[in-house]
Amino acid sequence: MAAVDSNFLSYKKKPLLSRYLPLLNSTLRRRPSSELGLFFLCQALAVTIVTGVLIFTDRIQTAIFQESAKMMAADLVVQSNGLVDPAWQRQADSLGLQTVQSLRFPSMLFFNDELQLTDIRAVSAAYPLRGELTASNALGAPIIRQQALDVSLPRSGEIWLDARSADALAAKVGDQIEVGHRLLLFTKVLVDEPGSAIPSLGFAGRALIRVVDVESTGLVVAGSRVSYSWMLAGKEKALNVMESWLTPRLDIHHSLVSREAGSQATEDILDRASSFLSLGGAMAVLLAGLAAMISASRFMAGQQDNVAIMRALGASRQQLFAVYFFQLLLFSLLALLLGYAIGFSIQALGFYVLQDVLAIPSEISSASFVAGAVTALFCLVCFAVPTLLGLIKVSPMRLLRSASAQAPQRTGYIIFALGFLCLLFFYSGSWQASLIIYLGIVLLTIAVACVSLLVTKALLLINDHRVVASGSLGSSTAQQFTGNTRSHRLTRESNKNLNRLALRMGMAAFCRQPQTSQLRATALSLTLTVLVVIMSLRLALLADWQTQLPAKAPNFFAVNILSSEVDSFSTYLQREQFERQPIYRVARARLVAINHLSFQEWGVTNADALASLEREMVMTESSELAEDNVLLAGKWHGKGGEVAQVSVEQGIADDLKIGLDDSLHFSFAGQEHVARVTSIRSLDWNSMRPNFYFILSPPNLSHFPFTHMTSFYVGDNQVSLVDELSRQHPSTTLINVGEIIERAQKILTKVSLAVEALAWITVLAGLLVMVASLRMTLDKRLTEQTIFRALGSSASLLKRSLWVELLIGGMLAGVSAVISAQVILYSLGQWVFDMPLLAPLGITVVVILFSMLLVALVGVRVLKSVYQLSPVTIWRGA
Amino acid sequence: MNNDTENTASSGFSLTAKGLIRSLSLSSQTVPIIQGVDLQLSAGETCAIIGASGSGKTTLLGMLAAMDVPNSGSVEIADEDISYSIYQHDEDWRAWLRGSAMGFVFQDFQLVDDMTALDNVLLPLELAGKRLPELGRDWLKRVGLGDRMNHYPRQLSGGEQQRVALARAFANHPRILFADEPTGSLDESTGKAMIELLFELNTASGSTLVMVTHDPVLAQRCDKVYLLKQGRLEPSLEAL
Repeated sequence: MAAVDSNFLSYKKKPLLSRYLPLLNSTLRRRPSSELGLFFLCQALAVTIVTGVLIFTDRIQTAIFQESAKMMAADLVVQSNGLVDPAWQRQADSLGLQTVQSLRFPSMLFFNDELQLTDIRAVSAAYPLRGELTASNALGAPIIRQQALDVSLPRSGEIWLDARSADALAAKVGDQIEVGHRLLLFTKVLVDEPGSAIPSLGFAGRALIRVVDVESTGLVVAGSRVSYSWMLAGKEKALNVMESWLTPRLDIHHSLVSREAGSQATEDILDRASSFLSLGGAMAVLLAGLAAMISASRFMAGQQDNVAIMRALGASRQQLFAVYFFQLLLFSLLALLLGYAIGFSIQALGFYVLQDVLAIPSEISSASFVAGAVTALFCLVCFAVPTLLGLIKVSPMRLLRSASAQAPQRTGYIIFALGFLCLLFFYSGSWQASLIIYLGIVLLTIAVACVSLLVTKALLLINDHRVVASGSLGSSTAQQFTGNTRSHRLTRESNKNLNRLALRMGMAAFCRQPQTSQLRATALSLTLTVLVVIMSLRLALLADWQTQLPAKAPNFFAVNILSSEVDSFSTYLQREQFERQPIYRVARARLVAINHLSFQEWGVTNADALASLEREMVMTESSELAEDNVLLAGKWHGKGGEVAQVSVEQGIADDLKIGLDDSLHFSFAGQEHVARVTSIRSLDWNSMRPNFYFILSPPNLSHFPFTHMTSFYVGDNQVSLVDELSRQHPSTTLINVGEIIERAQKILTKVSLAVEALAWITVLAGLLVMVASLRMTLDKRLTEQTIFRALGSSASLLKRSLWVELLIGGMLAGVSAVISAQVILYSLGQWVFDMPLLAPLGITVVVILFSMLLVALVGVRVLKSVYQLSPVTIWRGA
Repeated sequence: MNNDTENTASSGFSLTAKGLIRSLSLSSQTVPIIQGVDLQLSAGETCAIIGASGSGKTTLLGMLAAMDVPNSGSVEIADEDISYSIYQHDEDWRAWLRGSAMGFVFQDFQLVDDMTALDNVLLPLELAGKRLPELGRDWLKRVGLGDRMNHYPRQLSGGEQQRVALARAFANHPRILFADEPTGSLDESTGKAMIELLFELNTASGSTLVMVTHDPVLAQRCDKVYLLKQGRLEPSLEAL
């Protein structure tokens, strides 16, 4: 056999590289189609969303933890009533953790004839481990930050006083202050030190000294009211090891505070925002994925002839798969890079907006980038590969006989549906939440399909009616079809008829393509639903949060009111007309057993509840039921009786499975006290009033050391009165809750902006679906154009009918979105937020109009090429 | 023309079809298309199949060219050393056979639209694992498209596209060339030029040629002419 290729003799596979390399090489040179471009955009959008959202939420969480650590002056703090076991210090050293010992105690300071009760903090050399100390060289002098301080802490023999203490003592820098048995030199004015329980809360006075000086002052002796803090900081891994090591070694007198726990309040607020971000992100990724699938599907459909050619020329299925997978993979990689860049920029922009309320952490977790890559791969495998598997089965006979081999749409959609469920789980971390959302989307899709069907039927009826009713339409149509006009009057008349005809043709066109119209409407409807829900929630819950509080709701809490000062404190508030709550006796206690059984024996399984039981709770006694408390079961104990009685808050009663007549065992600093449950009550934790899980019948608390607490409202014109109140009651701690709320709200408002921005990105993803689905109809429209134009229809008539068709689709999406959003909002209001919640009418109207305009403008832009073709071109193309 | 091209000029394969039957299922009805076709072509022979529209010419061509599977019957291609029974193997084997032994010229040219003229010519070679850009360039020069190598099909006229298709068909040195209405989409003069080129290249390569056409004049240029009528093949005396 002459000059025969050696490979020809037998069906022997060539080595892998030579089989694929030349082919993949030529794939690189192939001109990308517009559908591939759209696929690329969808992939990039999905990666952008995933990367951007994950980096954003991750960094925001780190920022909150860091903030919390700064407030705590450490990453981990063990609070106790004595020094910690030296073995703990050895363990911390072995893990490479930094440690600081800190003591806090109240004491009277003296200077000349003045005296002032001051909260003294004594610290060791490395303080603060986190956060920053600020001071000034003299009263009223500029504030100096830690880095710029010539001495970062008071030296031994020195004391730093805050302005309030210095003012009260009439002391200046350089004076000798009497602290117990010692005289300490006042060297700097303390502005702010991290590690206060709550920063900037208006303590009566604060002072900072070195631990080494404490003994010589003679202020700390057995029985003194001293709280010890052992502070730790270091790498996260070491901290986690330390925390696990410490937890079983803690007893009732220790409490461990981690930065996560320290930031609980802010974190809770942001948790909801993060959920919105995640779910909004999942929705956007779903839509981007759907658009990717449609564009990939259209790309593959356009490749059927090419595949048939390659099949005829000898391509195996594996080779075809390799060629197209390689091409899609290349575009996915490019999309990944673009997505990374945009996602990173968007989150950076988000932090730019947040910079005045939150310190931006520099570290970025690589997990977000991995998640972006996984999403891109996921979109490729779940949304493009199923269609590709159908494509490579195309028969070469297609070249001889135009029998189109359809890609397996059904399998593709099934894989897509399963893939999306996994994606939701990936985002929410809960199968339950994923299934609920999934079900919601399915219901919405069905709703859109039903509305669409109704609209289609109605349009068909209207069209039929119009045809029957306008007997002359036929003749005028013939005239208008060609767009011929002779006079101005005739022009106006024919224009009117042209519009009428366009309306009819547009309605008919909408009815002719129910599937693609529904797909567009559903996708856009989903995005608009998300947008309406988020905007309405933001308006109702976030911006108006402050107004949700009753007018003159308390904004200051007063704690540690001594019994000897209760009367004067109460009188002062009354005299100066502060709106105040009752003053409660309070003591710290832990619940240690229920009906003589430990919690495990009692069957408490709720992890949160068990964790909360490890901390001491604030207990009170009262004969009166607070006005916002509602009795749900049992009888209010009133003035009580011989047997100790307790009223339990409903939530904790449910968590701990506590019922009426159960015996609760409390430990008050080691002294056990048993009380019988005689009532269960509900209360409003957000009322800013003193609220308690357990209220004992009087006079049970009197057996233990107790102080008092209350809350009151301080108006703008009463701020100076608070200073006077503080001066008159130096041992009382005043906490400006309004300030804390304001800060939290500030963060929340900004984060909600991020959520809303994401909702808009979701709309962008919806737009991509719309573009992809419109492009699906291009070929069909071109064929229709050919026929209509050949029959004499003017381009203007066809354009107008397109506007009608698109506006109907937009209206359908808008109306469905508004209806579903209202249902969702109503449900959220009813079952989650316990308040009437509906989207304002203005928003609903704007959304419907926005939807119509969006669909029309995008649609006209996408289909422009079809409607701009000259009749000759169309004819030739046909 | 480089050595590679010269050296690989090859002789054709013989083709034997026996008892080919093919019917199509249309909803509940089965429509017979080919009802027992026998065909014998010697190596290097040229053959034209003519027939009315819908007579099943394309279906028959598909089966002879290992693209479509008959309901029954066999097709064998062979030279002195080896013979292949086409339908005893799966589609991937047939794809390999098409790539290794066959060349195709279609009525609608069937060029890959996102590849340049050169890449289209190189495609069968690359599918066979060969990277021979020079050979592709030579073939394009040979069909008169030396200056259009980097143009995409849409940038070429119908005649030029069919030339690219010819270059592609011969680039991998086919033993049998199948042509389906090769001038069907071309004007008369372009079609004529194309046929000249096709026969010239075919003669040079020594391939066996099976051509389906409506054109009796074109059919007469072949060694054998068959008429496909009611699913059966009969020698066309009129054409001969």
